Amino acid sequence: MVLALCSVALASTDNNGRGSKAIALGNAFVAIADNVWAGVYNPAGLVQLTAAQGAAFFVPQQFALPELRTASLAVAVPFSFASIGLSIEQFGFELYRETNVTIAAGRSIDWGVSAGIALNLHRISIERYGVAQRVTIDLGLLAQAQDDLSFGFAMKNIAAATIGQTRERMPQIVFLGARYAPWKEFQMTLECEKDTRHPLTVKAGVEQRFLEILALRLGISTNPDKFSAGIGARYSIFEFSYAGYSHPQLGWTHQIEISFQLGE
Amino acid sequence: MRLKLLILTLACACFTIEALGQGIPKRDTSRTRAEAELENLLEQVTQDAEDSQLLDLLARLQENPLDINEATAEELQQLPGITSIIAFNIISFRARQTIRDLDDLLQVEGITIEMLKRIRPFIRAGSSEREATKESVTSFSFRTRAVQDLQRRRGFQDGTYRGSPMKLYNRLTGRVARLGESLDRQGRGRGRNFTSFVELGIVTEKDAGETKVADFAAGYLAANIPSMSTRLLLGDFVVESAEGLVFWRSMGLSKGTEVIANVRKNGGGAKPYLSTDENWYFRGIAADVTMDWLSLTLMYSNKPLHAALDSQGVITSFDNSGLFRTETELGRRNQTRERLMGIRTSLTPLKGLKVGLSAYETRFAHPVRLSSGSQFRGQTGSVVGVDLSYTQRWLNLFSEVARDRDNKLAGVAGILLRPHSAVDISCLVRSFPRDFVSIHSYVFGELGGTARNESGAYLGVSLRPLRWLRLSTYYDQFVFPWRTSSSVFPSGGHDLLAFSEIVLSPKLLLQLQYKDKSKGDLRMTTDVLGRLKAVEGSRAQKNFRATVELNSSITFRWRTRIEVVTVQYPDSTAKEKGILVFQDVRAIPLNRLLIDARVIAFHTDSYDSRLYEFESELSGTLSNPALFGKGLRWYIVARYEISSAVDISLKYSQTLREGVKSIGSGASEILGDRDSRLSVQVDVRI
Repeated sequence: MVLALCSVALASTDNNGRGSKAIALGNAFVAIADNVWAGVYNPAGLVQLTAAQGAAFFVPQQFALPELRTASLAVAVPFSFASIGLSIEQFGFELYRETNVTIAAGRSIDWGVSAGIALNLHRISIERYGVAQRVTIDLGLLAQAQDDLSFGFAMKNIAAATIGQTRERMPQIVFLGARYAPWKEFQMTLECEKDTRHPLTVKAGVEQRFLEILALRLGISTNPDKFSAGIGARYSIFEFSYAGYSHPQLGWTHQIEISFQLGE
Repeated sequence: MRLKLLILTLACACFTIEALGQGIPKRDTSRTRAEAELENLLEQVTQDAEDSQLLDLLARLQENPLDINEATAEELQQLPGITSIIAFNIISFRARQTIRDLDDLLQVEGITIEMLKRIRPFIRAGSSEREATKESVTSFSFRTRAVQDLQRRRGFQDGTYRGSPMKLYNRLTGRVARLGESLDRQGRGRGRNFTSFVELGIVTEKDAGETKVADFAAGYLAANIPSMSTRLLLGDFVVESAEGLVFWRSMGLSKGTEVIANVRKNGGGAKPYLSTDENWYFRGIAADVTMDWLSLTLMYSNKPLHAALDSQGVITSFDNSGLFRTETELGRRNQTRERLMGIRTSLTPLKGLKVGLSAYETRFAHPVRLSSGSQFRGQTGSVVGVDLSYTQRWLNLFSEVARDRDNKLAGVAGILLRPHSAVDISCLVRSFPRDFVSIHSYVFGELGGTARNESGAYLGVSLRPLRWLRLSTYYDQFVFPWRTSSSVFPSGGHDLLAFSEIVLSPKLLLQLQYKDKSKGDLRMTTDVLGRLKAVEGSRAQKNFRATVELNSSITFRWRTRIEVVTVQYPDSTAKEKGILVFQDVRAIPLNRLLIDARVIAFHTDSYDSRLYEFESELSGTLSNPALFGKGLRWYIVARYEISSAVDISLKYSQTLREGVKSIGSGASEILGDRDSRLSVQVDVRI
């Protein structure tokens, strides 16, 4: 059972995302990456932050299994030399637990392009089997083609690191995406995700905002086919958001987030 | 060892020191950027083929650009995208007025701004101001490159390969050109220009596993004697004539997104050979005489060939790989010779009309009886071809017919049409009997350039209906009257390409390409009872490719591609699929530094559904690796101009195949799932 969980878990942490906004958009976030979770999706996106942000994100149970719960915290601060993001995530239960710590930095370079790098510390502990940990490196690029169009690229685990005594390779994933915002309150995104082990995943999402306080989001993704939806509401410096997605066999998963931004 | 080689080559250089030197012709862009343009261009013209000889030709042109006022129609047609019609229009234009500035070319019918941008690095209008005061200009360039695989292949571990795993390449070229007052064809003075030149080139190469640094060596000496309208070539050369039925270099352009210009081959006579494809070129002497109405090339070649001989001294196969790493391979080295005498001549009795003749007679030192295919048999061979071409402002008709030793006739005929400034049409029909033998040919067709066992018809259309839209398409239908490598029965098929280029904004470009190819195929399968059976039918392959290109500035390019392929075999309803995505960034962050990096993720069901991506490389090389299985490839190329005379460049690439225990097979097998390679190159120009 541990082994079975292990494979689900290893796959799930990378694919199920962090933050309600990204998840509601079908996890198509590489070309958007404009909030505190950018360090996880595309570290180059951190440069879009105009003020310090923090967030707490909670998945009480994944696929209705309380053992598969996730809790994450993140902060990101734009400095003059670079924007820095830090996030910590814990997944699982007593028998199987994964902890990920991510430190990311993004910086504008030139030509309307920004670049970012993230270091992740992965720690897996399986009761009675012991603990394995490893650092992986992610890379991200974000290009502003026009005011309403941007492209994103990110790659996870660029150095092809392995974990554990069996030297199992940590997933290497390439993300390519485009974001189009034809008018101010609306944006849409299309993304391809290629995990070297799995077939290509295509993801798409749309977001419509109303009066700066309410946002509605929808998303789809393939392999497996998933629908997602979410809502975000802003009050003062806080934003409360919800996202849910459906797995064709495993049913719905719900997640909630509370985030804040210090300043405009 | 490298050092010793360097000294050796430099010693060779001193030998001919009188003949060396030259200024790098002035460019409006830096060298770094010009290199990048060349690669861009090659990707457009060559598609999926690795035509390194074309690269050499273009690189030579870049070093010694064509004088737009002097170049012949054949020379002009070597320029990418220049069709025979446009070449004709350039010649008509310059007969009326001397071209003093390259921008004048925009007045020539058919030349667009994009086209001029593409050909600009390869042409010049007279000599540059810096050169104007000198008597002669000398130039000298030296390139050395080392390539090393970072994983050890099996052959190096068990001693099958006798040499070291490093691949070494050295090239030296020198040129001295005399400047003087030049006259145009009507006898009008046109200012100072190059009047004569002497050129020299040497190349050596050692492949991984070979023992000698100069395992392969080629070289030439060329001289231009204007008073006799003659060019002499001594050493290694290739000959291109007409449509390639008699003579062509061992590679050529074929079907691709360049649907018009690639159809006509437009041979330009004898050309120096400085590539590293090791077998089918010539070694000897060639003389070109060019006058207004006549051009004549005579050649004699006596060249060793690599071949396998049986106990009776009969050639059973030719070795075209150029690899001599093992005992067996070394045993095939220079086992036989080919002696060839040839002629190429063309007459221009009227403006636009050209009649040509190409012929050769060849003799091998040993009788040939190849174990595969119905190719060349016996010891001697000869081919005679006649060609005819008529060109005017919007039309070009061309054809070539050749007869081989056994009186078999093969022919090519075609039309290029330009009925409107936004429309180009090309059409070509070809017929090559199954037993036609022409060993030095390379023709436009489906069977990798071989002029045998094929007939077909091709139609290409290129449209520019709107300023932001270019559409190109071709349809080619072909029949193989005899068995081919993929089917034992007569077969055939079709090939369709639709390509569109959409300029979304001045910075943003979208390219969409669809390719549909169906070809006769025979597959052996087992039926439900486990009996072996052959299924005859068609192998259908469909590729769809979308590329987005963002040029934020002249120093930054962003490129994203996705390509999908499906392959279907006659015996099954299931389709094999493949997918490839890549992200590419090219930037010039510092004035003299170019960085080009790409990450490619691929996932295909089998080798049959493999996908290709044309890669940026060190100058002078090409790479177009086949990617299959599932995995990831990435590379980074960096090029730095240390000074105006010295460049250093570096490439590191790595392919990681998911879930495999070894890569490759036989002696070149690598244990593990990783294949990485480091290449370093130094270029010196004086």
